Amino acid sequence: MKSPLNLQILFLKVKNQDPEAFGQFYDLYVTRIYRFIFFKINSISDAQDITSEVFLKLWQYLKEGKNIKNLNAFTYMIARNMVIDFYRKNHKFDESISDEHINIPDEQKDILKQQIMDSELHDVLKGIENLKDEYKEIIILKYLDELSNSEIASVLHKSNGAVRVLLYRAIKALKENINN
Amino acid sequence: MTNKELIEKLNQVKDLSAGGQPEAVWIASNRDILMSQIQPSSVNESPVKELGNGFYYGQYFSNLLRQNFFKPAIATFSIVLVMLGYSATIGVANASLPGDIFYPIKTTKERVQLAFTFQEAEQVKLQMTFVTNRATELQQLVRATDNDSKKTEAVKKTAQKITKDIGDVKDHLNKINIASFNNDKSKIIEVAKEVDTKTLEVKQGLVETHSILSSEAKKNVEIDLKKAISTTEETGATALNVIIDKYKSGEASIDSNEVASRVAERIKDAEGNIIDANKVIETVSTSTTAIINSSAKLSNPTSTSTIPTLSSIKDQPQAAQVVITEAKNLLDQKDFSSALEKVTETNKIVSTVEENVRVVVDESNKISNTSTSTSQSL
Repeated sequence: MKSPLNLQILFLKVKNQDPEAFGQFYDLYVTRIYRFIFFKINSISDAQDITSEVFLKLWQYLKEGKNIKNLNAFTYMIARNMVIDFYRKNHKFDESISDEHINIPDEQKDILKQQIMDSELHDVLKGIENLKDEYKEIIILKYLDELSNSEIASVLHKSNGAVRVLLYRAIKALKENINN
Repeated sequence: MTNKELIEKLNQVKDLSAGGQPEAVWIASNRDILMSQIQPSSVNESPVKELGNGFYYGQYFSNLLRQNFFKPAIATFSIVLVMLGYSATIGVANASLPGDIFYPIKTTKERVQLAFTFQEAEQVKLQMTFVTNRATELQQLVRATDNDSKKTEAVKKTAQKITKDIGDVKDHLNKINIASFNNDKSKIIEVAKEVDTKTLEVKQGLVETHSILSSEAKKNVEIDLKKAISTTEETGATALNVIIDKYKSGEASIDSNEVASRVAERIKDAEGNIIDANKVIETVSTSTTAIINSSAKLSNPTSTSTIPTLSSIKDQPQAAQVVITEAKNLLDQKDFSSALEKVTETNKIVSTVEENVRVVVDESNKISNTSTSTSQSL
């Protein structure tokens, strides 16, 4: 885990198109970005492909000299846009971005059975699964990926106030899902 | 499950592969592919500049300083600048006089202040304060050294504004007086007292303004100024009437000595009006007596009765003096209402004197002009 200062220095190096720093950035962010995408598209192989593309796209933006204020939020923004593109291309946009549920893949379910001893964790995971997409997205960004509210606001193109409201509703909906 | 417990569970979920944990093998192989893709591949592609950590630390602290110091400092400075600008504008506007560029800001500020005053009694007090301000402005305007037509126009407009505003105060006062049967009576007394006191100040200011005016300016603004003075007197009388009514009905505790003192002030003011009227007659008579007395009939032989003569005007202040003496007697008897009625009557007589003097002066001028042209033709 890098200290906040070292992380900021790393970001500056990445912005200066340092490939080695970009590799370190990848190491730090690949799991988060993958998880963010995986929760949205429900396919390991697609999540892997899109994650690779996200980092490549980010590098292209850096090479083009695009002004990136917040690298963290910007990376999530690319991931989010790529997921939307993915659904557009696969004509599944309405299904997945709407209230449709995303099921955990069978192979994941097996692993789940092995790994989850605590049934409450299973309930939480199922609760997230059954959330509508915008609630799911904000829960992942806030609690799994630990983005700040202002970073989430940048990713979702919403105001800080709207993020707070959405977060409150998402937590409420998640609790209802778990209780049910 | 509480929110805290839920958040703890969410933290645990992220470590599960079902919670979106990618395979370690894929992470490593994907890294290799990515690194191979981003490395400069051709001679045309310039390698990245090797910059030491010192450069990045410098950049970081520079950014930090910019974000945490310069930006807030600029924002604070801008806010201070805007506030100073606002204060300066308001300051200049407050000191402005009718006709100045900033004067509309001042009147707009007053209108806004009035719009945000929700109690009617407070509104009347505020309206009265604004009228007092107008009277002060008028004096300052007239005392200003330059004397041009623009200034005269500003005086005229301000006098008209005072007439309108003081009339509004009177109407508003009457309105809340009627409503006060169901409301707080001490509040209406308080407002009436303030209006009574301030109308005397305003009237005094207007009289002074009139006395300072040049004879040329007087010609243009006299009617408006006199109208403002008479409306101010009427409003003052209305306020005092409210106080007397409340005193008589015993609706609110008010000291008889205070009422007597206020009526006495009005009597004194009316006496001042009589003195002024006498002065006007005296001034006019020295220049017009001979012409009027000898030629009034000549100028209009068939209807001389409609044109007042100087001798008839001279009787009016005496009549006013009789009425004001009656007012004093009534005050001694603590008949405040009747005393105030006599004061109003006195003021009416005096204002008639002034109107009549104007007619006499006009007539005198006409005769003078006719005589001059006749002698010239001869």
